[in-house]
Amino acid sequence: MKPLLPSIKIAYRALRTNKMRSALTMLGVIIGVAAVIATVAVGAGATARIQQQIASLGSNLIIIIPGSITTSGIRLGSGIALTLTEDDGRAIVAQCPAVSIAAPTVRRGEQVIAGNNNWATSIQGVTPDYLTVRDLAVEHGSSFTGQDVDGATKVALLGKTVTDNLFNGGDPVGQTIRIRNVPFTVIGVLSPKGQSPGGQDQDDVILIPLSTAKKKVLGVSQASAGAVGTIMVQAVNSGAINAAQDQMRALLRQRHHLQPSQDDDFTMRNLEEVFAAQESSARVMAVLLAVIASVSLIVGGIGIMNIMLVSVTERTREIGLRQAVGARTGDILLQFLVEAVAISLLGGIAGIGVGLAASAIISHVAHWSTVLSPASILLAFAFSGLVGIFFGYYPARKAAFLDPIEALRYE
Amino acid sequence: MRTRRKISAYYPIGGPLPFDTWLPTWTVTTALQVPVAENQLAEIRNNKLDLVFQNFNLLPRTSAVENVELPLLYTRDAEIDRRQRALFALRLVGLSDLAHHHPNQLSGGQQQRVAIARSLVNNPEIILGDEPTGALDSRTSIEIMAIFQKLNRDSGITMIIVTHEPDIAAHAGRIIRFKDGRVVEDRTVPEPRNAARELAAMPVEASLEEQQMVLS
Repeated sequence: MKPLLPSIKIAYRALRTNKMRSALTMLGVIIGVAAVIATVAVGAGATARIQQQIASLGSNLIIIIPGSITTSGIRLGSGIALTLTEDDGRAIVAQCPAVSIAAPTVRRGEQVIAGNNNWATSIQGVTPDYLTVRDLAVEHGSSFTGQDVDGATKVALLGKTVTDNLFNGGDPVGQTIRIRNVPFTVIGVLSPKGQSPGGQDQDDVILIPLSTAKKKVLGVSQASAGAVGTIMVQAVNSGAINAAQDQMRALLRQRHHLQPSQDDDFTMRNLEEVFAAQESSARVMAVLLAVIASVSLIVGGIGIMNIMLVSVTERTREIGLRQAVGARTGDILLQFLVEAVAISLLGGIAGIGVGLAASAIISHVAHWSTVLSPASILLAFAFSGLVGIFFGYYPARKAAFLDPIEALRYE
Repeated sequence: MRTRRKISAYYPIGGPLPFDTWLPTWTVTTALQVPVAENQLAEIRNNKLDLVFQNFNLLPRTSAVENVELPLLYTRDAEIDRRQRALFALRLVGLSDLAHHHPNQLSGGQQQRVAIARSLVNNPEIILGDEPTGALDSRTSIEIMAIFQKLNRDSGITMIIVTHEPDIAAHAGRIIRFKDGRVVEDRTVPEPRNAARELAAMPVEASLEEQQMVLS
């Protein structure tokens, strides 16, 4: 194997001789690599943000809400009818193998009072399963249990936003809040979840036991004692979401005595599908950006080719001399190839630096989340090396096949 | 064009040859115009036959010793100590002190001596001189011829020199005269001029170093 070291030394010297020219040639590669890294980072950031939002809703989540009902030709909007019951929830868990948890919930907006403060927020009546489905954690204090639900105890878990507004950030655990004049003891504070994909504040919420909510807050009528607003369902895994939906649809239609000609009296929402679409469009965008950025890298490569052709012409006599003292075709080829690759790799290294800086600036100034993946950096770097080889080959070949006599006599 | 290239000094012909038979083979293949791969030519240029040019052809912005190392970069043998061999070659031409000077810091005679050191660093069997004294004044020319004679005598390197100057030619043991591409005379010289003795006999107007300063 021919030692590369002398070629690298010669290349270094040649590049140093024409500092400005080398730097400008590198600039093309620097911009190309930096653009690739920055755009991939922005694209990956967008994808990661969507994934994070999906995860914040709870994993493998299916939401069942009551559907519209038609009464005397008047069609009511969805969610009005109280067609879903706690029994439906229990039946789903028992009979649908693709479902791991079903958590019935009710919700209502209410004014909440604590001491001198009051705050309008969303009161949700839930079972302990709800925390699992939504991937909620109690940051401080304790969660409520099945006994709280069975006994309809007056305990509450507060979201971060509620805590901030009712207790000015102080410790609410053990304090009393009043919802519709019913006193509740705060037993815990939920970990912050941030915004939902729809832009709602997921921390502006109070969780109370489902039974308590129905009896003390919502005042549910006797006729529909078991009715619930929503059933949150978790499929056993992400692949089982469609199976779970099919099983639940069949089960609910049967339980609700619907004829084949009748529409469903409930609606299922599978958020992952919605966000998967968003995610894939973000990904297409990211790929598109990266492709455009790669074009600039190719333009940089053409710059390298151009300058290497100039360099070969300028150094024709040097090439002739090297041939006269015994340089083989391959030696000359290697020397100029190393020079071209040196430009592109040095440009690539500088480009990584610029790309990292650009990503940092973008996420700082534009508040776009960026995710830097080592793979994309490595890929951009390797690609810059390939650009050097590809665009350096023609000039190097031209140098290697010069006629020694003509080259030595070249003026 | 192909045929002319074959006869030229830059295109010696040879194969993977035993040490002492490459020259006859070269002659035969040249006469028969057998094409030989470029890389074999390169190998011969590298270590059998080296060149000294009229215009020196040193690499600019490169020190004397690095210029001398140049042929060693293209030698297959990876074990050689290039720097040591180059310094030794420079010592043979009397330039040890100027090893790290760049060509633009050297006089014409010194540059030509660097070029000679470069040609002999690979222990060639033949050095071809393409008017090696053409760009030098007469005293420096004789100095160069003294080096050639010493290399021929001490190292057994065959020197083939093209020149227009009869004074320079008189240093050779055999003179072949061409006119319009035809040999018009081929004679051996029984007693060639001895360049070293001439130098010693020359009036010492200035020391060698000072004179070189003036020349540069």
